Amino acid sequence: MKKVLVMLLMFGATAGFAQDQQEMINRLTPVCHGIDSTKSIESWKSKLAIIQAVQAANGDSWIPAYYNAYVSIQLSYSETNVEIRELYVDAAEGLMPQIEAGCKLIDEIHIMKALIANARMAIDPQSRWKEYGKIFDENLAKAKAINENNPHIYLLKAMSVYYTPKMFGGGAKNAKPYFIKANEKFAMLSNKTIDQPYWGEFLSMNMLAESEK
Amino acid sequence: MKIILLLSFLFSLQLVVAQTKITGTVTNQNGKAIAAATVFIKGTVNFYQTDASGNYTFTTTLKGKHELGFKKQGFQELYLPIDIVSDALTQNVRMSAVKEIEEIVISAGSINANNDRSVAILNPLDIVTTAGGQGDIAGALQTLPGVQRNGGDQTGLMVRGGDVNESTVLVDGLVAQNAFGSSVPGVGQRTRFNPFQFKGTSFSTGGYSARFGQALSSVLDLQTNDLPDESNVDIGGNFAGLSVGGSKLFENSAVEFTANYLNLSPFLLISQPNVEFTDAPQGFGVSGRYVAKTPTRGMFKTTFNQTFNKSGLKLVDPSNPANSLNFGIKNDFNYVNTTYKDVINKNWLYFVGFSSSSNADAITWDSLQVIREDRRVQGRTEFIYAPSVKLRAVFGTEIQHYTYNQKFDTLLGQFSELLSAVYAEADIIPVRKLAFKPGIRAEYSKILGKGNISPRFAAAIKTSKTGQISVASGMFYQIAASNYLLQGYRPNFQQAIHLMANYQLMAKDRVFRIEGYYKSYDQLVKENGVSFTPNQFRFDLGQVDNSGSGYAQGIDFFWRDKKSIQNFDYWVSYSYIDTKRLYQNYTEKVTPDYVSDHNLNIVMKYFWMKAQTNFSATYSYASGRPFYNPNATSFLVDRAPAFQNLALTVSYLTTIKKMFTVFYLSIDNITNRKNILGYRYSMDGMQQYPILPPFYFNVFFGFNMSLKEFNKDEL
Repeated sequence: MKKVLVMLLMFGATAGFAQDQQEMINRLTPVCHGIDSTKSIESWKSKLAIIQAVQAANGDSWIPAYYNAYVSIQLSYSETNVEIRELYVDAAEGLMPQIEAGCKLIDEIHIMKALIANARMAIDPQSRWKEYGKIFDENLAKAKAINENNPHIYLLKAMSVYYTPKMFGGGAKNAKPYFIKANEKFAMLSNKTIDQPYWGEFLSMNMLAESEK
Repeated sequence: MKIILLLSFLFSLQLVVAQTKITGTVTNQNGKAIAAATVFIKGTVNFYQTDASGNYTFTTTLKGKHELGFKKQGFQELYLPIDIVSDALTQNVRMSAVKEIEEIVISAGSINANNDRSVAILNPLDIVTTAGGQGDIAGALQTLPGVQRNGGDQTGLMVRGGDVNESTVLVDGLVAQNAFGSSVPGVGQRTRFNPFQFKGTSFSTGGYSARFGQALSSVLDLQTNDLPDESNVDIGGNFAGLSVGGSKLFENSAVEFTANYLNLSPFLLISQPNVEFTDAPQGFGVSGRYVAKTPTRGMFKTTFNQTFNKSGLKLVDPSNPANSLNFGIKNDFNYVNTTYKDVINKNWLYFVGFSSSSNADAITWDSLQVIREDRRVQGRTEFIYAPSVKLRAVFGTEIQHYTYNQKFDTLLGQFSELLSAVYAEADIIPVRKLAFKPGIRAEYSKILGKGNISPRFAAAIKTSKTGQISVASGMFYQIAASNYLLQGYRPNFQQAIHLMANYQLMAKDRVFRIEGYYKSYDQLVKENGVSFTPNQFRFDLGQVDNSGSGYAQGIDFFWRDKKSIQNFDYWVSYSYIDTKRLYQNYTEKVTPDYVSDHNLNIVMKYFWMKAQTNFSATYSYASGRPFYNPNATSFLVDRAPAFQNLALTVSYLTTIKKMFTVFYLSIDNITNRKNILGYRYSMDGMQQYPILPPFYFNVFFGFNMSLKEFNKDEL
């Protein structure tokens, strides 16, 4: 009887957790779906406010922490004040332990580390490319070794090449094959739920169009 | 419906009430407002900025204990605990300026070009992109104050009145004997080193560290790279040859190699030299390197370098300028340098280094054969005590053994020297804006059977956030040049005393410095009982003693600005020198024949991003050097015309098949100015002929390709 009670309690707890998780996903999905199509700082900030509220209500969950970090990185690109840019990246980096503790998608953890490295580099590219460019490349390589179908690998590489000066092998023309590859990989995604991060499809399509101009 | 509206109103009212308004003022230690400081609650990503009066205001829905963060460049980050309980909270703060201990660097007599330091005057990349420098370390250094502009006829660095023998070149603290190619009369030689081998260049124009000796004027200390960033392969080609190099990076170590073939024939074909080459300079060189780091951040480096060179040219016969002499040289040089440094414990480090070099020249002057050989081994050990940023003390010892052999036709010369030294030096920062560097060095020369003790001292005081005053002084000793020792003379150490004061303003991307100096020379080697001849390669030396003396005083000015115009970088350096000396075979105390009183260099670099092209132009001016006129009533009073040169380098940067590629075109003496560096006379003094630079207008073209990505890309 005791065993039955314990099992029932465990089932109840698991079911409760699953219910909470689903509720959280339901709350985050409208915010995070198509998140890469966000344009203004205000829109990013309002999305961040909702994500933070969900994060506050869901304690240790990696999902809101992941999107919090993602949006913080995007905001770091939007800011002009160097200190604030750095603080946004600090905030994203500060969320990594929580993301790494909960997220089973190791390739996405490397993607997030590559995003952080790229954001750091973008603050002062001339003096930082050597240090953070290496971290960026290493994390993309690790992500690829785990899941070569992750479209984020190709999208991040494409963005990096796009914004690298042409003389160093960058520019739109050189970035185009990577955008095409990223789009192919996005098309392969069947399970588009935010606990399997799929951000970037909109961005990739748009950037491909830009690189074809 | 009314009830719903009322509830909604009450709910929104509750939200408003739940917010807390946080306000305050941010000031510095003197109570002055700090504008544009960033204010935030730690752990959140909402950031606010202070206005021009240092005030900030924001609202938050957070409650309870948090930390309020303040950030501003140049100030220490500040976090204050706050307890948000009511609807308003005021928090005024004072931020402290960042302590500047690490920024105080004694700069008198020293010019650093270092990737590791934020206070560098030049970066290593500047060395290769300076027009007129021919991509050579010594060439680029000639655009800096205190260095004599070489018209192309001299080999070596001439610093603040010192001749080429008074400067020494070190690699990782060890003497690089024959750092320049073997001397060819009238044709200046480059250094044997590739500027990209080095992460740092510390060039001292005087008052240098007690770690070094045996240089009356200056020390150029080149620090080799640590581990490369990536594995790579480099291929280069130009009008003077081909080169290939590469490195393989492992987890904690790397191996590197280079090989190059030199042949100046294509360059000579289009450059119309003033010298008639009978055998175009040709050569072959290989080098290898192994670098490894230890788990304790120690570093082991070993390098070998082997080169063979030969060339032949016609020289004016000094006895009859209408005739020429055939000069030929074959050179075989090798150099090994090994260093290791590591930590002993948290306060102590050690450094050991060993170098070995050998050099052989086979020279022909028509039918006359000259064989010169020299070998040198050196060992250095240092213990470094560095308990904090306020104190760093070095205790070291070095020993050098070198041998010279010369066969001048049938005349033989030989000597061996064993030179040992101990030294101690400390960098002390007793208070935040003050630094001292006392040092002492003791040397013993076996060949002379004598020793010397040379004290050194330098200090700096910060006068503002960007400004500082530095002073440096010291005694410096050097034994006589090898040509005297080869003939069996053993004069005492030559001596120089340096005194210099420097004011420097160094803000981000802008540098201003002005330095005044006085140097006295004593015990210089003097030949007696001979008449003067300007031939540097003469063999008829008189009786030698230490009765020579001299002085040099002057002022150096440097201004660099990378900030005013985007992608545009320029520097201006100007040096004035007043120097006289009585030495060698001089008959009176005069300004030496290699010194220009005024030296001016204007270097400009512009990067045109859209065209991926870098333009660099250098204008150099050096007032006329004295030359010896046997018919003049006074000794060395005649002056050559001023030297002027305008050089341009254009570099196009691109990527070809994943290989980062640079095409470069250098044009030296664009205006084809017919510079005359001085005059010589026939033995009877009746015929005058000019000393010309090896080239007037000349063009050099080349490319360099570098491959770093070996793996197939993510596609």
